[in-house]
Amino acid sequence: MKSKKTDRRLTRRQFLTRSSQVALGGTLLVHHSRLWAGDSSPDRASTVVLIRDPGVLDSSGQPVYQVVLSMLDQAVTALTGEKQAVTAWKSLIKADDVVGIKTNVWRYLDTTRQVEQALRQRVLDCGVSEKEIGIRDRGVLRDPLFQRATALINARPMRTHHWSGVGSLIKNYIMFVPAPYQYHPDSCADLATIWQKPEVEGKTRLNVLVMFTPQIHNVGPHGFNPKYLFRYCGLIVGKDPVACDTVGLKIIEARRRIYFGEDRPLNPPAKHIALADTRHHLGNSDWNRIRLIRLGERRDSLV
Amino acid sequence: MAFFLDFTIIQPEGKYNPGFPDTRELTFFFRPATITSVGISGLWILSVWATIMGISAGTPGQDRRPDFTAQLPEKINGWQRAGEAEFYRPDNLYEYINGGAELFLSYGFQGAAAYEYRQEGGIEIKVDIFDMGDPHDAFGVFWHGCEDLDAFVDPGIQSQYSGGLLTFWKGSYYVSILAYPETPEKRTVVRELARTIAGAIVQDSPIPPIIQWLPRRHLVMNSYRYFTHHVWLNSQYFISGENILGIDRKTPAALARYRFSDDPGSAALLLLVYYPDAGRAESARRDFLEKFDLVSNEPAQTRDHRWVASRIRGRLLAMVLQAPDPASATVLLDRVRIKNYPKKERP
Repeated sequence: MKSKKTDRRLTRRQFLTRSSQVALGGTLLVHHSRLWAGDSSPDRASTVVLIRDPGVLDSSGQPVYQVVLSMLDQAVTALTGEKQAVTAWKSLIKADDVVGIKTNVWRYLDTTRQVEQALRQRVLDCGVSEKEIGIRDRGVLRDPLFQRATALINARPMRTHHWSGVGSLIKNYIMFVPAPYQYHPDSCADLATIWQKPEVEGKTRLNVLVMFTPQIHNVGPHGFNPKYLFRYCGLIVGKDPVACDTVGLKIIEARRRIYFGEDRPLNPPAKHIALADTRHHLGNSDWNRIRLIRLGERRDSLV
Repeated sequence: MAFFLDFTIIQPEGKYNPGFPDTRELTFFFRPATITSVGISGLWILSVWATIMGISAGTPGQDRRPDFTAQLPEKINGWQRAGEAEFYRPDNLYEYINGGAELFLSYGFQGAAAYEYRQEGGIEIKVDIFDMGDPHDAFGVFWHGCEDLDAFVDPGIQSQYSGGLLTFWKGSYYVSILAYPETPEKRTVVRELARTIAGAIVQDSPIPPIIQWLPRRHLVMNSYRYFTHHVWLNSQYFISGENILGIDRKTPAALARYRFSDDPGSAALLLLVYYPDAGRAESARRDFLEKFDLVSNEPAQTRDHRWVASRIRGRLLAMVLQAPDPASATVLLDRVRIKNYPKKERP
C-alpha cells in the first residue's frame, strides 16, 4: 500500500480544471490515468494478478472448488514472487494470526462459498487454528473474532451499484462502520476513509475481487438482473484494493461498451476508486502504477 | 414503442390530483430516534402502514390511494403470500436496500411496501411497491434504469421485463417484481400480480412536461431520462462529478440522446433544465461556460472534437453536448419547444 507521505493530490482547482478538460472529451474515470501520466514511478507500482480459467464455472454456473483453489494458489504465488504456493500463503498469513475473511453475502451475487472455503483452507494451511478464522459480512463490527483479528482477507464480487458506481473491494469494508449510510454523500466518494478505522487499518493481507460473473448494469430496487451478468471466469488478486478495483472497473466499463454498443458511463461514476488514491492515498488507481500479471485465459480479457 | 410518442395521457394543468398524504408531520412524530417504547413502535408501524396506504386521518384527497395489502391475493397459482408486508420510509429504506435507497431518495421517495410470495423449497417472488409521491418521480425512477420498454403488464403501462425482473410505473408508484431464477410459471404469476397492482392504482400517469419539450426528431428510442438530482446528470455521458448546473428538487431536468444518421458518430445529447426563475438559468449557464473554459454562447468545440452549445429560454436552459458539428447543435436547440408551460414550479 502506498505511503501516506506520498503526495500526488490534485488541488481543488487542478481537479476541476483537469476533470473538466477530460469530462467533455470523454469520461473522467476511464481516462484518469492521463491526469498523472507524467508522474509515473515504477517503484510505487502495485502488483495485481488477473487469473482466468473457463473451467472455474460448471455447466450450472457454479464455481468448482478445486479450480478456485488452484486459481488462488497461482495468483498468490505470482503476487508474492514465491516459487511454492504454500510459501506464498505463509508470506501473507502467520500461524499466530487471527484471520477475518470479509466476504459479501449479497444474495444475487455473493463471494461464493467456494471462494470462502478455499481462502479458509489456505489460512488453515498456514497453521492458523480453526477457531481463529472467521468468515462474515454483516455483523463484523460486533463479531468477537473480527474485533480481535490481526489479519483480514477481503473478498467480494464486483458489480455495478446504484450509488457508488460499482460494489468494490474498497466498499466491502462498509460493514466495519456502525452507520453505513453516513458514507453515502457525494455518491460514496470517501469510502476509502473506512480503511483508516482501527478495526481494519493495516490489517488487510490480501484482496480478492471475484470476477466469475460480474454484473455490468443495475435495474430495479435490488439492483439485480441476470441479463447483465457476464461469464468472465476470473479472479483479481492483490494487496492494494484500489489497484484491484481499478482493474475490475476497467473490465466492467469495457464490457458495458460492448454490451451497449457505445461508451455508456457508469452512473453515478465509481469515483470512490480514483479518490481512494488521489484524496485518501489508500492505493494506486493510476494505470501507469499498476503492474498487471495475467495468468490463464487471455481471450476476451477486456483489459 | 408506441408509448414513447404518445403524450396524450397528460392531463391539463390543475386537473390532476395525486392526493398524497402529507408525511412531514408523521416524520416528526414517528422518527425512529424518538421511539422509546414498544407501544410507540407499534404505533409507528401502524402509522407507516397507514401513510403508505393513504389512510392517515385528516388528510384530504387520500381516498384514491390503493390498499395493496387488501388487494394482493393471499395465494396465486400455488404461491402463498409469506408473512406480513414490510413497510419502509425515507429514514429506514437503506435497511432494506442499502445503497439502492439513494436512488429512490433522490427522486422524492415517500414510502415502500415489500411483499413476498413463496413456494415450497424457499423459492420466492419479491414484490416491492414504491410510493414516489409524484407521478413524475415514479416516471423518473422507472426510466432511470429503462433499456427496453415493453407492454408486459398491459398496453398503456410503461414496463420492462427481462430475466425474471419486472419494473413498471403507474401514477405515483414504481413497482418491482423480482422472480429469479425465471421460469415460465413464475412469469405468469408476475404478470398477474402486476395487473392486480396496476388495477389498484387509479391515478393518472402524467409524463413530466419537460420530457415533452424534447424534440422527437432523431431522438434515440428509450434514451431519455428525467431527474431532479445532479448525480443523474451523468446518465448518458460523464459531464461532471459536481453539481455545476445547480440541479435540485426544484429544477426538473431531462437528458436525451439523438442520432442524426446511422453513423454512431452523429450522436448528440440534449439536456434541458427548468429553473425556478430565469436568473438561476442564466447563472447556471454562466457557471458551466466558465468551468469548461467556454468563452461564449456560440457552439464551441471540445478537446475530443465534439461541439457544445447552449441557449436560455426564460427559465429553461437547453444545452447540446457531444454534437458532431455546430450545425447539428444549433438545429437541436432550435427544435426545443416549450409546451404545456407549467404555472407552478413543480407540476
